[in-house]
Amino acid sequence: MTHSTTLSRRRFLQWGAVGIGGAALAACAAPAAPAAAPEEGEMASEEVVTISWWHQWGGTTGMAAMEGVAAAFNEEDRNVKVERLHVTEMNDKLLAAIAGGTPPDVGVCCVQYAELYSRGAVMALDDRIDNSEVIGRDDFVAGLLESMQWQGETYGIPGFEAGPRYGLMYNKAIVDEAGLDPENLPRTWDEMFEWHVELTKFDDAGNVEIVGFDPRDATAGNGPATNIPQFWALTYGLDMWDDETSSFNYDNELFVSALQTIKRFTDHVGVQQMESFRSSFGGWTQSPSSSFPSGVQAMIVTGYYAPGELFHSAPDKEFGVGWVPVSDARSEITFQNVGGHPMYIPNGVTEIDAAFEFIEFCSEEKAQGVIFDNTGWLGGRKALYDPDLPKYQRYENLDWFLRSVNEADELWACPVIPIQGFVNQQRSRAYESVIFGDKDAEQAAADMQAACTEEMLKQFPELVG
Amino acid sequence: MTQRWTPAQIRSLLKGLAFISPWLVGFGGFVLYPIAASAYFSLTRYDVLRPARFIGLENYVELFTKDETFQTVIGNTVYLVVIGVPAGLVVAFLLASLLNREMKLRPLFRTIFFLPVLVPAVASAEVWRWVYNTNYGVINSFIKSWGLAVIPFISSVELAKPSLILIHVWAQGTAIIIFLAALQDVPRSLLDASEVDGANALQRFWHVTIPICTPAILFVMLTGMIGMFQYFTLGWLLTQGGPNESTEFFSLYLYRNAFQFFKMGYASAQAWILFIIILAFTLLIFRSSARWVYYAGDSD
Repeated sequence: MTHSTTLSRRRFLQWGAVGIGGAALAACAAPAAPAAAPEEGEMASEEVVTISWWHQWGGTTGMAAMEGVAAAFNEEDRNVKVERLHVTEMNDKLLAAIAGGTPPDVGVCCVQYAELYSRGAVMALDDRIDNSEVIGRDDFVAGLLESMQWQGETYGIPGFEAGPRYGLMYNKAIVDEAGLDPENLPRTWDEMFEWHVELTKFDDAGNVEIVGFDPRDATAGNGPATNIPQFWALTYGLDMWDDETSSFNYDNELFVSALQTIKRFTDHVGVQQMESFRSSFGGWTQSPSSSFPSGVQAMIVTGYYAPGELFHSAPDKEFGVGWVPVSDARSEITFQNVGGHPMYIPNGVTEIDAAFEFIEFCSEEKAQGVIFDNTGWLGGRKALYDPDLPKYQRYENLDWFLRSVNEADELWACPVIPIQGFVNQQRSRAYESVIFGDKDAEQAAADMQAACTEEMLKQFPELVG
Repeated sequence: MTQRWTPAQIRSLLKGLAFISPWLVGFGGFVLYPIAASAYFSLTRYDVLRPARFIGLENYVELFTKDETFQTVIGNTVYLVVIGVPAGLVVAFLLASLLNREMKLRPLFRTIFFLPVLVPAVASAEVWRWVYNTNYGVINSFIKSWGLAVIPFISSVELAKPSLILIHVWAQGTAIIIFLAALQDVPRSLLDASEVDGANALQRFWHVTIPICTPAILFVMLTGMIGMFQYFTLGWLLTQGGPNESTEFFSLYLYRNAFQFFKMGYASAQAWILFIIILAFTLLIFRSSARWVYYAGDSD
């Protein structure tokens, strides 16, 4: 007796037909009827929708806040539950998810928002805001909602972290030791440079030990947040972006002066030393090992979140705050800028109502309390901007930031530039080419203007007027 | 004259295709299609979120004629390849030669030299960040204690690339293993014969050991060159392309264009240029290998 080891074509077709037929029958079968059909209202109350929420913030305090908000939402008697996912390199992953048709229902931090708004990757939320019983257009600090709008439509809601971005914070001990008067903080860049010289310390071998002021740290610096590139322009009174014509204004003597000021501060320390210093310590205020919290940098331009962050990262140090310096021509002007991280719903999401319900929850006092207690961040709601609220006394200097929104002579909103990532890179190139001496400030400003204009024409030719 | 396939041959072919169909689907969906899509996107203006717009060779023209950063990127990457690959190769070969000698604790040393390969890139980046740190790094703390100026390893335009190459040289465990295998294949009889002929140790190493190992050297050189052209992780983690674009390498800039500037078409053009450069270098090395690679089995 012989066994055939091959599968005959006839047998193959027979088995194939059986398989396909079975699958077809299974697909055509009616879904199993429920044991007992509930009443309509009863069913609605039992159907729980689970939405996905991506955030990039992590770290000890940030993660505690995100976990706390998700827990607070899920413990409420709602038909919506949220599943939280901490996502690093959010911009790449969100882009891939949107392109692949599998975006999260809600996202917050840290993507290039303007690029998403302008390319229709996230939903306009105006109808929902207008019909919401929780969120109103006037609920937020002036300028915040505008910083989340593109071509008249609103694509994000201030939720987790949004507020004033510019305050000159200083380390009291270092300033006292240098014999400087914190009651008279520098108002112009010339005065600021004098402080910088007094506060910067070198050891006998010429290694820098304390930097007075790093002109590229935090909101004065190179980070990706949309309000950052505005700082140096605004201190010189320059509006770098025209929304009407979608054009830039970098090739301008005011921006040239700003670049020269950045170079002046860097040169005093030495460009090499400044680079090493920044690479050694990191910037901003959240990490205890960063230069300002660790006490090796005397001054920093940063936002309202810094008092809360410093409370955690530098509990043994004392800090003060005042208005940021400006050019001589603007020495009588105080200005503030508001911006922040919107909560948004990517296009392609089906559970839009549930997603918006979560956004509404996050902008309310309960969630804001969880966020504030863990991080010191605010969501931009006007009602919560009362500097005299007892809980705000916990973080020294926070009241100054809250008051500054109403007291500033000028209040600016972050511009929404649809090629923000490209502009950020050009800005870094301009700063570095000037401080490293590759270009003079005039050339760097002209090159930046040309590059940004050309890129805008390529990507949004229909908008450039 | 064409020979017709018999039904049995067709059945056999179909069965063969059915058996490799998982791989075929994977290859088609995850390799062939992306390659073809990338070739098409390189001829378009495409930001992923809006439909691609055909622009012919404009991306390529811009890369070579207008994009100043791209010129810098090419220079940085070629530097990395031209200095880094030979440096890694020489160090790996010398270490393998040492580890091939009779010595105490040889297995331990072999393990130690291979360990860097097992360390995840992020972990090794953090370790080297501490080593290179100017303020509290292990080297500069020592230098500072002597009252000297610190060495700005990764924050200096001049030193950043060499410092990254040093890390590359440190992690040569895989090449060392390959060279060790090749060294153990060097015929004892040839070494003995050359010794009898009066060759000293250096001459035996130069005229016998190295020629026998040239196939392994060719392999390590080629794979090292390809890997170095695609260098990304440590550059991204340690220097982010700085200072002043001195470590902005090909893959970093490609990534930026694709995901930070939303220029996927432009990044695709870069990817094809990278492919052509790697292909050219590979062909060049292969062509030259006829002159310097010795295959013991060759009849001529």
